[in-house]
Amino acid sequence: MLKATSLNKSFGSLVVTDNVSLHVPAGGRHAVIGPNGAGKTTFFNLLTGEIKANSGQVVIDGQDISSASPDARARAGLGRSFQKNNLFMEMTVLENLATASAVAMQLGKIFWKSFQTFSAVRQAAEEIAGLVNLADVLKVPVKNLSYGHQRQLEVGLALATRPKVLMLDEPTSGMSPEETAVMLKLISSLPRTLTILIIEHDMEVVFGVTDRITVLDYGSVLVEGTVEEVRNSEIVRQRYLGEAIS
Amino acid sequence: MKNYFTLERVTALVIVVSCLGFVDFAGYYGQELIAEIAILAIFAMSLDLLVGYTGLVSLGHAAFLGIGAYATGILTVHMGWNVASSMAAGVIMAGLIAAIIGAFVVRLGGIFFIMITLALSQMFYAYFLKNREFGGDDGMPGIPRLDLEMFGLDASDPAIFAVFTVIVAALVFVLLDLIMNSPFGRYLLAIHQNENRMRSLGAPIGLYKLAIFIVAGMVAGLAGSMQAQHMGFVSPDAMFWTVSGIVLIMVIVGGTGTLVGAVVGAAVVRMMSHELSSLTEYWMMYMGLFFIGIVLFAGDGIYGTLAKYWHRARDPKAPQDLAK
Ligand SMILES: Nc1ncnc2c1ncn2[C@@H]1O[C@H](COP(=O)(O)OP(=O)(O)OP(=O)(O)O)[C@@H](O)[C@H]1O
Ligand SMILES: [Mg+2]
Repeated sequence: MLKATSLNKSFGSLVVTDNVSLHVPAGGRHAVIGPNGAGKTTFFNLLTGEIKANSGQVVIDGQDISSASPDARARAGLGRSFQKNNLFMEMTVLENLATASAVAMQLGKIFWKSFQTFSAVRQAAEEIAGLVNLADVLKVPVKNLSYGHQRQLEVGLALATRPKVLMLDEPTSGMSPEETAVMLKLISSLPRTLTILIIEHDMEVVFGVTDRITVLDYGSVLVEGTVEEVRNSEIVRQRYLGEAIS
Repeated sequence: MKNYFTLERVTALVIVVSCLGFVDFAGYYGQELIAEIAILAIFAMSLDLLVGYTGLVSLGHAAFLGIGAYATGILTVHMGWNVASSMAAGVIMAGLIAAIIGAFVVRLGGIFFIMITLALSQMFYAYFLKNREFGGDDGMPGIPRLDLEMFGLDASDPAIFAVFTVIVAALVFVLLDLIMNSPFGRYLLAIHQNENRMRSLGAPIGLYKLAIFIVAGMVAGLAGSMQAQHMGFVSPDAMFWTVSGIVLIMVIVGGTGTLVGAVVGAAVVRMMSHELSSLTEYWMMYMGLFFIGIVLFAGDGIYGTLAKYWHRARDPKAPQDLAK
């Protein structure tokens, strides 16, 4: 479903992504882990086109999007959430999700009909709100939302684009253990057919929701394998997991 | 539940009705003032599409006013077109030029957008200043008004022309209100709030900015055509950068992001500058102080601030609705 081949990126002399490849089949659940500054977010940005790769190829569902703009890649099926909340702060939860749903339905060319009359948009927005446990706060302005709820909305916006591949960048970052548990349940409850690529520091989340893992270190792939393989890998234990689990 | 009677629409209706009611006993001076404000209101609404709704702060919007005015002037005086066609041509011409300029500038953000729009508009100013054929710095006199004979009306009557401008301003309000409440309008609001997220959701934001830049240019062109008819005259001063600056002040004083705010700003600034300039030589300074006061103490502008208190008084607990 998603195939990245030999992606490279450097900022000046700093190599941030070094020949990274990855293949996630349809319905696959794939984690990208690695220490701070390993280049995980940059790798996401290369996939979504927010940062242009120096070289390499990105293919989604058979479609080569290597040179497409970020919005074209999103339309091709890449839906992402951000590590740092990136929401429409002056809107309510419902308005956020309705806006994202309208973009998913590509309604932007319609200028002669009131937005409020599109009941399909509202339905889609409410459905997503249910998925990310925000049905009770639909009318709350995002700026008055708790941090945990804002993180849930962050995932909700990505889901609202009806992606083929859902990309989550540390959905639990900054969350309390309780909020993390909610997020873990939320991700586990997503339809099994959805392909997910997730960056995560919390090993419980990683082992809980994914079947394959790529470990990045200094911009290159240290190890790639099943959860079991990575867990038992000596080099990963030494370099990274040592501190995270023991 | 759909609410058709929003505060903004009701306010607009009240303004239009009171203007029309006032025309009859306003006298010559009042009628001229109403026409002038109605035209400025159209111009200010068009700029607010960029500044308030989309977050594109232009300091060169007078270029489109001038293009609409010159198109009407040139086509009627030099080429013998009728006024109605010259109005349509002015609107289309302004739209075309907005499309060309917009294709280059909408990608720019913040201060670059401000400086480029300013520089480009000054180029248009310089062109018409030097062009002898169109009157140079003397301008072009003798521009006729729209022929309202088919309604049995005489547009040279100031009362009739004032009513005409108010009706056109009302129609512009209805049209823009429709557009800004559509999915297209929602995209623009969202782009204003978070362009980066909008792009990653899959919206080609450059195209949407270009589209609204063209619409704003066309509406400004309409205002320009009306202004040329009102004064019977157009000169390069119509597109000087201070005109762009004053209309920006109007939008900010009235309140950005609402059409009525732009209308209120146009009326208040126009009346204040006129009253003050007849009272004191230092009127510019007082206008400046007034503007600073608004920005400091009523950051949402006159209408924006009043609307906020109104909504709060009516329903203290309700979250601020984006749709107003
Ligand atoms: N635009 C940029 N210009 C220069 N250097 C950058 C840029 N973006 C990222 N970097 C550098 O690239 C490296 C990788 O950053 P990145 O954000 O991808 O790491 P990460 O794995 O997501 O880290 P974290 O776990 O902290 O989120 C860091 O050293 C960072 O400083
Ligand atoms: Mg990161």
